[in-house]
Amino acid sequence: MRMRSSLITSIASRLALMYGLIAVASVGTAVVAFYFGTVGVLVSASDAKIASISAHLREAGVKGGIERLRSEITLQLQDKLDTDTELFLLQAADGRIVLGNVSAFPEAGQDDVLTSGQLLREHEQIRAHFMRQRLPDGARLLVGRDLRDIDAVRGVVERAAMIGLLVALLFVSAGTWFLRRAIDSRVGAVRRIARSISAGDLAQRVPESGADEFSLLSRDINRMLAQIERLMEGVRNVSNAIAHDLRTPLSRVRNRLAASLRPGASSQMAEAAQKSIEEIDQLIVLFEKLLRIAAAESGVRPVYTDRIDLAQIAANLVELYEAAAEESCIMLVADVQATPLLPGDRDLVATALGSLLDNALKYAGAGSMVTVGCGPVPGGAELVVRDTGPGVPEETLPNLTERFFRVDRSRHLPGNGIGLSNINAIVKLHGGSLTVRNRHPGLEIRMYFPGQD
Amino acid sequence: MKCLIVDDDAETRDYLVAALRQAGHAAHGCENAEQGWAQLELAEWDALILDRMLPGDADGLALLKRLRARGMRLPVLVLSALGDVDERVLGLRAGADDYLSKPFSTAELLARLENLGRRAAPAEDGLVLRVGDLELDLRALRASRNGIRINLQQREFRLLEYLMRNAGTVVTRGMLLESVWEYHFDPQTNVIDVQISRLRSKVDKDAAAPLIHTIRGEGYMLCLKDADAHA
Repeated sequence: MRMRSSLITSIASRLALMYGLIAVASVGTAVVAFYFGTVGVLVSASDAKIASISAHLREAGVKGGIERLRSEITLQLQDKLDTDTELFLLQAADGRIVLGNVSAFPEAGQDDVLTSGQLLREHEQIRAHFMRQRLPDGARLLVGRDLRDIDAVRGVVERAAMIGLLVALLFVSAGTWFLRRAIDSRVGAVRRIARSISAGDLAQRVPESGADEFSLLSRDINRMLAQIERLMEGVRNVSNAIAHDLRTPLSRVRNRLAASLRPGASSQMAEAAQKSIEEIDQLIVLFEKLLRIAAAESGVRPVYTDRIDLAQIAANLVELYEAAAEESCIMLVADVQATPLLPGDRDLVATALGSLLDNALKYAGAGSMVTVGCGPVPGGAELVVRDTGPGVPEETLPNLTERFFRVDRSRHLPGNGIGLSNINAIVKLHGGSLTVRNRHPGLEIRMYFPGQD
Repeated sequence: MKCLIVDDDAETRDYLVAALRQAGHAAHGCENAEQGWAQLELAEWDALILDRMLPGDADGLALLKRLRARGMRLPVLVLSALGDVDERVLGLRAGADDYLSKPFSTAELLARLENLGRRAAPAEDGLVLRVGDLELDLRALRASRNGIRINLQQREFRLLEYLMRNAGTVVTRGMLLESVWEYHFDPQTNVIDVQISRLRSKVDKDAAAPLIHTIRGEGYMLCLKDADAHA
């Protein structure tokens, strides 16, 4: 299990990203407003001037002809007002250039329309807004504005806006990251505790500090955990009490029966007592398994501090069962690879593997082969028991680990149908999983045990 | 052996005292941890049979920890109505030498108790074990009967060693599995019986008097005399 959710699915990321986008959008709006408040105003003011001067000159031209125009333009160029940026060109009807600081009429655009384009001024291409017009007497007039100064201002403003946006983005990303980290660390603490609790450590509590929403949540979670711990402790006490209250009287009964077995007892009595003792012993084993299955089903796993070697257990049990298998004309083979040490209970795992071997020897039948495999798998290690016996009917596979379930044809054999669910319980207590499948021929049972989380 | 029994259940306690006395041991019963502690301080005991759950403030494990902390080294067998594997480990870690869950078989209890008594006795650290004409050389890892070498596998050697160290007393299947294979579980297949019968076929094959005897309902015993007398 990952401690951090992915960047996209994380609520922290999404919140932070949303907050970031809002921040970027507001900075962007401010930049756009600033841009139009400076450069936009300058451009529209200069465009307005072009229009008003054009209108003024046209009026002068209509009234006073070309000479009046010349003196008006000269006046404009000498009034010390914007003379650097004002552009004029006057052409008489015969095509002669009368006056102007622009070299030629541009081709682009239409007459009487404010146009943006390139003009040649003192052998230099410049960007300008201008308006051309034709006077009634055939003369042509161009009034324009050199935009280089405004462009310079625009450049400064754009650079400033760019830098501003970049800085804003930087702040937003940093803010996003910090926000995500802050949320993650608070949520992460809760998740870590939740994990160790589901792994069986009920004493853990979420740290509570301050009075923010997370601390309030932590407090609620802790209250809930205390409740769960009380309940679990109660369950444990109850199963201990059941164990004690059942074992003690059974123990007395068994002892009385054993006492009656002393010399002098009739052989009939002795036989009955002996049988009863055996039944009591079986009852206790069954009872132990049921308690274990109940514990596994409660979902709270014990914390195993010992490290066990599955390969060694597999090799030991094969050695232990070899002779008995041979006796039943079954070949028992070990296929054992070294495995990493895993947290677990050696005797419980041996019980599980031993039970599987008991089953295999009981059901696989003479002449079959039983293989005990052991090896590492991703995330842990595996114990496998395979036989070449008849297997089990396919439709019963899902029910095999159910309590008291027995395949019909095996009802004549001794047993109570709790073996596989007991094995399943042991594997579950270790956080692992059990899989059963038919191999045609034979049955394969895999027990997966996870390594340290 | 002089055994102290601490168990709050009167019937179990009386039964244990009777069973131990019948087996030729001295036995005294106490019903709680305080009485048990008083007896331990009052006299020397060879073994303690301790119930895990006792009434009052101090339960069995508390008494066990207390006597171990005091440096008392007598063998302790914990009896418990809590049969869980976890509980067994808890008991052994608290300083118990053996652990038996209720209900127990008297034979099992006696066998384990005698085994504990032997372990506590100063061990004749002989490098060669001898029972009759059977010899086990622990240094050379050699077994021989009547001077004829017996070929044993490693585990068979350890099995025979355990039987010889406990010669004359019953060892149960559980004890063999725990000591020789070092596992504590209850195989439903007769694995131990088959292992013993293999060992027996090697050790007692050509001998006039068999050494390895099956004690019905209890376990096995390696001894010179005829085992039927014991059963």
